[in-house]
Amino acid sequence: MSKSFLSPLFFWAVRDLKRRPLESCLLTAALLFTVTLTATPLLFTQAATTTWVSILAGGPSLVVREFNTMGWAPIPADESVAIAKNVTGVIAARARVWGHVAGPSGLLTVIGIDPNRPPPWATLIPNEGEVAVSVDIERDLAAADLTVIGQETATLKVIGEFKAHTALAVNKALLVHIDNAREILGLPSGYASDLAIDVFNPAEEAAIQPDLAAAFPRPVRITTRTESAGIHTAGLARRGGVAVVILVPALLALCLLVTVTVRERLGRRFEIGLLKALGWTTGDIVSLQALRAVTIGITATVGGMFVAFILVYHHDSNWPGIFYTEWQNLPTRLSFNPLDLALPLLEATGLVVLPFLVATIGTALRCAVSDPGEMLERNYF
Amino acid sequence: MPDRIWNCKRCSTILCLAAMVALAFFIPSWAAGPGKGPTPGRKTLDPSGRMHIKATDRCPVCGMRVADYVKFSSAIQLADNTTHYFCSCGCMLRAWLYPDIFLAAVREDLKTPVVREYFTGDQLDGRTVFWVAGSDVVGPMGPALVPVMGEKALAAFKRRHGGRTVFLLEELDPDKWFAITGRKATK
Repeated sequence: MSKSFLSPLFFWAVRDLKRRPLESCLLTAALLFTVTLTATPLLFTQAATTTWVSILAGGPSLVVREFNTMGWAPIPADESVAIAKNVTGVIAARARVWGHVAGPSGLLTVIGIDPNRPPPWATLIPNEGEVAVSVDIERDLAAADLTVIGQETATLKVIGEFKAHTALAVNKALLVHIDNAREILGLPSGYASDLAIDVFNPAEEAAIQPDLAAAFPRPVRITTRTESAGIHTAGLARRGGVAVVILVPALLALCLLVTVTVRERLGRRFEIGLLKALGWTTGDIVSLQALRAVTIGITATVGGMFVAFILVYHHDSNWPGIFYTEWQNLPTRLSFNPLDLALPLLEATGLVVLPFLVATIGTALRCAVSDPGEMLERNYF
Repeated sequence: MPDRIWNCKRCSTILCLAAMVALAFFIPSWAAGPGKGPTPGRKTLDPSGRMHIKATDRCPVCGMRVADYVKFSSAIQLADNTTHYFCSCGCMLRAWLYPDIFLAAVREDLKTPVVREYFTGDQLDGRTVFWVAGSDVVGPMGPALVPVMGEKALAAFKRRHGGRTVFLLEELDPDKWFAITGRKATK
C-alpha cells in the first residue's frame, strides 16, 4: 500500500474543519475579508505606480519651462530647440504646446499636435477646427461640437475619443491642431509652452541641469522624469499608506474576533485530553492545530489576494480611480507586474494571517502540555 | 539506511527535486564543455558594426545578463566574426586585456571592441573614444569606466561627473589597469 505524500495529520485537520463547517467557513471568510481589505489599497498603489512609471518612461527625460516675474512664460520654439540641442548630452529636443482651459465641466488640458510631426502615441490626429477628447470629459454626446474657453473661446468639431486604456495618461485632455492650441492658450506664433528634452543616460537627467540652465538666456525651471514620477508615486503611496493605517483598528478588531473564536474552539480541552489519553503526543496535537490553522490561513490569503486582484486590475472596475485619485467615471486599466503582488502579499500575511497562526499555535501548545487527566476531569460537554 | 530513504516517498521526492535544482545550475557549465570557452552572443555585429543583444546573452567575464544593462553594454568581435557581449565597459576591457582567460582566444583574434558612447548611446569603436576612470558614474559592476567621444564631450563629462584618469584603449595594459582600479584585471 503506497504511503500518501501528505501527512495523515493533514487529513485529520481537514476532517476537523468539516466537523464544524459553519464555524470553519465563517473563520475563513473573516480572514479572507481582512486580507482583501489590507491588500487592495497596497495593490492599487503598486499597480498605479507601475503604470505611472511605464507612462513616464515613454515621456521626455527633462522638461524646461521659462519663467519671468509674472510666472511661466511662453518659450520661443525653434530658438529653444536649437539651444538645447547644442548642450552636450541632449539627444532630442522638441517644443510642446499645451495648457489649461475651461471646458463644459471644469478644467481641461489642451495639447497641441502638429499633423506633420504627430507624436507616436497619438492615434487620432486632429486638423484645424477639430478636437479629439479623452473618455472622461463630460459633454453632450449628441452634439458634434465642443466649446472651450481659454484666452480665446473656440468651438471645435469632435472627431473621436481616445481609447479607454489611455485614461490614466490623458485625464481630461483635448488633442487639437497646434495652431488652434496656440489661439486658445494665447500663445504667439512660433512660441511653445515648454521644451521636452531626451538624454540617453538616466544619470544625465540631474547632471545636465546646470549646463542646460546656463545655455538659456532667460531663467528656466527644469523638471526631470524622476521628479515627475516621484510627485505622482509619492501621492499615491501616501494615500495607500493612509488607507492601510485607517484600516488597522478594523483589522485588529477582526483579528481579535478570530483569536477569540480560536480560543473558544480550543477551549474544548476535553477533546485534547482524550487525544492525549489515546497516545497522541504534544507534537501531534500542536501539528494538528497548526495544520488546521494553515489550511484556513492559506485559503484566506489566496482568496483574499484574488479578490483584491480582481478589484484592482479588472478593466471595468473604476472605483480605485474614484477612491484614490478623485477621478469620476474613469475606467482605469493598470499595468500588471507580478512583483507588485509581493508587498501586499507579505503585508497581508504579516498583518492578518501570521497573528492568526501565532494565536492558534500558542493556544494549542498551552493546551497540549496540560495534564490529560485534569483536562478529562473538567466537564466541557 | 539508503534503501529506507529511497523507499520513503517524501524523501525520494525531495531528493529528486534537489537533483533537478542541482542539474539546472550545472547543466549550462557542462554544455560549454571543458576548454571550449564562454558561449558567444547569439547574433554577431551587423555590417554597420551595431550590437544585437539577445535576452540569453551573458557577459563572459561576470556572467550577468547583458540585456539587463543595455545602456552600459559593449562587445568584442573576434576575427571569425563571433561576438561576445559584455554587461559593462569594465568587463569588456578586462577581456580585451586577457582574451585567453575570458574569451579562450588569442590576442591576434581580437578584431573590434564596440562601446556605447556615454552621452549619445551611439555604438562606436572602442579605440576611437576617450575612456574616463574615477568619475561618479556607477555602472552594473560598480564605478564605471566611461567612453566619451570628442574633446567637447570629455570636457562636459569631467565638469559634470569628475574623473581621475583619461586614457585611450591603446594605452591600456595590465599596469595601467592596476593603477586605475587598484586590482589586477584577472581578479
